[in-house]
Amino acid sequence: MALLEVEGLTIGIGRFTPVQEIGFSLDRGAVLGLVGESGSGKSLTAMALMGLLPLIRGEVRAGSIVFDGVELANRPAELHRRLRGRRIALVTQNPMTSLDPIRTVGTQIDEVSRLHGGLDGRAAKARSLDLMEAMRIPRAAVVHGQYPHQLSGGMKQRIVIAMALAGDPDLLVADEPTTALDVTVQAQIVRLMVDLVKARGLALVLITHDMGVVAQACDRVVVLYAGRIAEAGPVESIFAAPHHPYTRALIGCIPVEGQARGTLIGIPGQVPGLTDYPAHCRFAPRCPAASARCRAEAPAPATIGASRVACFHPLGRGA
Amino acid sequence: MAIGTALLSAARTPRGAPAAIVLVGVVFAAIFADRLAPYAYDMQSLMQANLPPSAAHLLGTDEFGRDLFSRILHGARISLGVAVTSIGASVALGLVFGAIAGYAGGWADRLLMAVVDLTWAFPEILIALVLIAILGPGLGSTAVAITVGYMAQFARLARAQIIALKGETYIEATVGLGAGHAHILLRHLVPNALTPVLVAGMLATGDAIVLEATLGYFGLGAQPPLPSWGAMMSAGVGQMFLAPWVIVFPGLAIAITVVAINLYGDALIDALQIRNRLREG
Amino acid sequence: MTDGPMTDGLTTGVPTTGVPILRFEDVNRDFTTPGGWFARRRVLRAVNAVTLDVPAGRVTGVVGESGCGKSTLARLALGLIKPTDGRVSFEGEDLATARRARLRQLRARMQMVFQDPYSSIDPRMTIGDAVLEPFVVQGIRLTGAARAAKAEALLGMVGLDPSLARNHPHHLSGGQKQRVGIARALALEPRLVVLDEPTASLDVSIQAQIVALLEALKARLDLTYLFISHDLALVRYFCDRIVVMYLGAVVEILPSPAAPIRHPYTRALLDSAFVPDPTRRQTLARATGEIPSAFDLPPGCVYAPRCPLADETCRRIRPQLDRSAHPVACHHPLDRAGAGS
Repeated sequence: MALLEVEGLTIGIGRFTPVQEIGFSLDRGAVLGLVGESGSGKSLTAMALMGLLPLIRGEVRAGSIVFDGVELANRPAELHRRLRGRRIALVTQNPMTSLDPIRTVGTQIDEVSRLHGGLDGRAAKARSLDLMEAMRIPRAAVVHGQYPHQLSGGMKQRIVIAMALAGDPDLLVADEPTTALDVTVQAQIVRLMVDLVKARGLALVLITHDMGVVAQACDRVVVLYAGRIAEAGPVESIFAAPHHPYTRALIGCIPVEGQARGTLIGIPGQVPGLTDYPAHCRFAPRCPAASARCRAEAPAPATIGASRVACFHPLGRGA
Repeated sequence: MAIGTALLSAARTPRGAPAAIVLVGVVFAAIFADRLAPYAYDMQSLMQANLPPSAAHLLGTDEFGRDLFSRILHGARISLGVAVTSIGASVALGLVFGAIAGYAGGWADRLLMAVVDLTWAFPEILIALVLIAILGPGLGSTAVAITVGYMAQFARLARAQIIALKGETYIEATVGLGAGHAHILLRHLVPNALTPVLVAGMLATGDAIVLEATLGYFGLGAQPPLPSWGAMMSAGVGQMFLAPWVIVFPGLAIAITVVAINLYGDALIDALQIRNRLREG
Repeated sequence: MTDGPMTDGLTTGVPTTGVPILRFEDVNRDFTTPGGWFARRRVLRAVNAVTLDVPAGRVTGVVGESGCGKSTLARLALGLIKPTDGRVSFEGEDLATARRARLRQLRARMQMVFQDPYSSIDPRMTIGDAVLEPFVVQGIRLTGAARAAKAEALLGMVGLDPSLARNHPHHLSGGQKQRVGIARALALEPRLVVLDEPTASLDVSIQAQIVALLEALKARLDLTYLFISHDLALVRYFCDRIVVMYLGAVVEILPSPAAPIRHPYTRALLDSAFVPDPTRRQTLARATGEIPSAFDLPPGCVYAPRCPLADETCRRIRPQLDRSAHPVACHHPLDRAGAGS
């Protein structure tokens, strides 16, 4: 059985249903990409995994989240509190929100080991230094005694990841962990995280809007559009032959080497707002292949090759 | 949210609704005091001095037999009128100084703010007393005193708004279009800085009513027989035990009005979502 | 492929493709932190000895990471800030010494599109007023009918529904706001448009839309672009010529997007791009470290602390941009390193 099994996950906030029937599974040592534009529901899904939906008055309306055999959906806050940090750790986009500005970064990593691992002061510090070195932080002993404001954005994010690892979690949820960082730093941190996942047998849910990050980091990908799965499957096959027009368009939004001028088109229109989700296929208004049927009913996910695709007119079916 | 819609939505909140009703009533009384008052505010009748509230005199009469209800209605006109006009002038001056200081920066900012901080350092009542000592008692002096006494807070607030807004991209974008200082200030900075300053002005009007009443109470404001609320309370002190209504009703009028202004102002701040912006300065 | 002026452009009086429309000559720009009682004043050199021509009718890209000085360069280009030393000239006129009235005229001919569409429109203005503001600022009076027609034409040009003119900015999506920003910038029919990361805060699908719109507008209106970005892949797609900056200095100027890379930093930028192809995975080759603070720059090459090729010379002597057709500021450019020197 996989470490994480999500099935038919439906999230409600008030009278809205921003996430509908999302499912995926994730094994140890694997990286799953949750990809989509703003408003796709990817961050809400992450919050559901962390049990943080009550913070925004959201709830799991249907479906299940089974983590290591334990159902997490709609369980008491106490259960989530015990899992957070120790079994499931979160890395957010802005490292500043995860770090206390008035304490040294070292003591903040130490604290996690002491709290969750029951280590004493000296052992905790030694462990922190190990983790900082694993995160390729140069002069770790010096940085251990520094305050967040003395560090660059990339360093702070490395510290936050070291903190997440200090609780020795099984599952790491990273919500756009590198979006706020410089290009060269982004690449280092994403690759570092992937290496750590493989080396330590963690599982990583990587939330991103960038198909490039997915291609470089993930084993499997779930493409979300307006709160529903458009397509899900192994990264290689999805990039080699995307079946959903949205997946193909999303990949096509990134210019590649040698691409001719005038061939980058983007996706016309914009993601619908929560208040005006169409009852039919949600991508139909922006889809070049949309037919009358697409504007009448919503497609259910079906298996094509190694992927699950929710589309009436999937691409390359014959091929 | 636009200030017009915010005024209405604030009036629909549980706190704002009763306050809005009271305020509309007070303003109505102030405007139509002539028509609403059953008697002239200065009509004396010594035979009817210090009468308790009755059908003929709803709130009773004072030591000269003047109808208290009529005097409180006219008092609303004076107290509210002085407070609103002087706070209006104070807001206008504060905006001008604050906008210039915040926009120009450098020595102009330091000079203007030094002057403003000088008045900021003293309580409003002290500034008012000094100014009235120079100008002599009367409504005009009271108005000047209130205007000067409160100006510092509006200048500080306006300056803080302008400095924050100066960093907005749309200001740089407008400079990039070739806009001059007047255009930047008058078309973008001041209009965007206006809302918090106006709301602060509204809240200060409550304080100004109290200040006006205090000055009136000491005989430094409206001169007899003009019925300002403070002056009326002062006149009631002598009969406090004989005819307590003479001091109680003007006092209630002040309290109710000020509480209503504060409650409504608070609801308005929430409706406009500007609580943070008011803390600046 | 050089920056030299073409004589046929000078005879008509209108700069033709290739003639520099904007020139940076040895430009420095310093920023000083406001010292306090306990803080010493510190000087940061945001732009360091930049010499650069922006040829008319082309797309010049400026690429670099945070602190490389690209946004300062954009503001210098439009005279929004003045250089500490050196000269920035637009169509031959020095922007720092131009009189206020002249600067206003020049600004009608050079415009900027800003990174953050969310704060680049006054929230109190309607979209219609926002796109017509350039005319108000320039003292061009339009009558009621002309105003409506102009607003409609401008919104239509950037692919927006003219009925949006009555809305306020908070009713628009980020992509729509950026289109309004472009309409505003193009209202006065400028020659030069500086694009300061115009797509950085937008979703990828919208980013591609905006780039496509900018391409179409350039062809239609004969514009010159200075395109500033942190995304080398996007710059290589969109630009004719690419200026790579690092910590305030130009380290390489690629004469064409396909030119072989010569500077190790440009190489690192390219290697860092997330290529959307899982069969071409880059491995974690080496930790290339992070960008040092611009306050205390190393004495030699500013990239030396992160550079795999750096030696003693690099740490002592700052390399200058060479004068070749493909200028690079490096003691060990990659095309020579391969030859074994």
